[in-house]
Amino acid sequence: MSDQQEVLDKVREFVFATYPVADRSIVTEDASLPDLGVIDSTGYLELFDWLQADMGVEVLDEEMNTENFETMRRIAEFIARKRAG
Amino acid sequence: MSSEAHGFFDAGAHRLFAVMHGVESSVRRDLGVVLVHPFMEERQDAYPFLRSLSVALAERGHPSLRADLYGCGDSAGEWSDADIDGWVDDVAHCAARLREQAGVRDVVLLGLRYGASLAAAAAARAEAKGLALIAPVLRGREYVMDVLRAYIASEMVLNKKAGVSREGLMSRLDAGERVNLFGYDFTPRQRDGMVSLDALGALAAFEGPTLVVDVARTETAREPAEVAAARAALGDRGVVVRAVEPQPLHLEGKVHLVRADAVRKELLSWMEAR
Repeated sequence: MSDQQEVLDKVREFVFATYPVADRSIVTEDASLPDLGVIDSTGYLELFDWLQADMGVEVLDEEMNTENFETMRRIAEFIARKRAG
Repeated sequence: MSSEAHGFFDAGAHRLFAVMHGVESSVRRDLGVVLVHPFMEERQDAYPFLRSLSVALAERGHPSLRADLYGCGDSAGEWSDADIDGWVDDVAHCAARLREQAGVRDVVLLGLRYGASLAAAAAARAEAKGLALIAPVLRGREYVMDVLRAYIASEMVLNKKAGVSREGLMSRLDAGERVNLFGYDFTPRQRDGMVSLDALGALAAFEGPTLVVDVARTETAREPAEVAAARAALGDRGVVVRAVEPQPLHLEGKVHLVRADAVRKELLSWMEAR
């Protein structure tokens, strides 16, 4: 399993464990989490806390945009970019 | 069913709106509870929980009082005119009002989120018998930064990108500007009051029984820094318990959380021992 896939799996695990999701089948890796109502603003704060505490990735205020956090795949890519420095 | 009475009372130079439960029908009148709400959107989202807690306390014989603090809800004043010391003073007035109306000898101050800071800070002034702090916020500067971060996150969800930073918002406050957060004009005076309020110091100095409820989604969740700070301030004098709830008590959620059974159980159990 690639590192990227492993990170994506961890993001998926966190999302499904943290936010109530009625139908997991529509929450794909490329589905918009805010548009589906999976994550709201307070949910994002939990995500950022998790990224810092468990993934070792700090989210700067200027990085808070949906380019980085709209989908699970984008979140995983953000983690990879931050880790790569 | 507990009795319920609501109305305005004088709290110094202004009037506060308060709801009291159990003043008429309580079977045990020696210990009452003043509930101190959190702020901004959290106050509205926590309303059903605090109301249900008031009723539950009254049904166990503990009269309770919930007031909207100055500039909040139905009470007098504008939000932007309120300051932290005034809110601490309001809490003390609430305790006096509950003693007067319910005839209770002793009062516990119960604070949720930032309400916990106010409860701790007001404990001496209110001559509180005990403190119950639920999902407490006790470090003012960190709280201010968290509120600003929450605002930035909400901007991100609404507009795809935040476009502001905490540093930028703090600079505006430093310059004497108000910053509109979630529809509330947050003022430099409020920011400064939150940063300078030493709630942890007040908690450390308080000698009465204290309960801290760490509200978590799971048993294994990491202990929040606020709870760890409260634990350190209390030393071996307080009781720190974890209550597992499906979502935070003070946030809008997918589940309309009203009862918060785990928190209620811990609180009522602690009250029984008083």
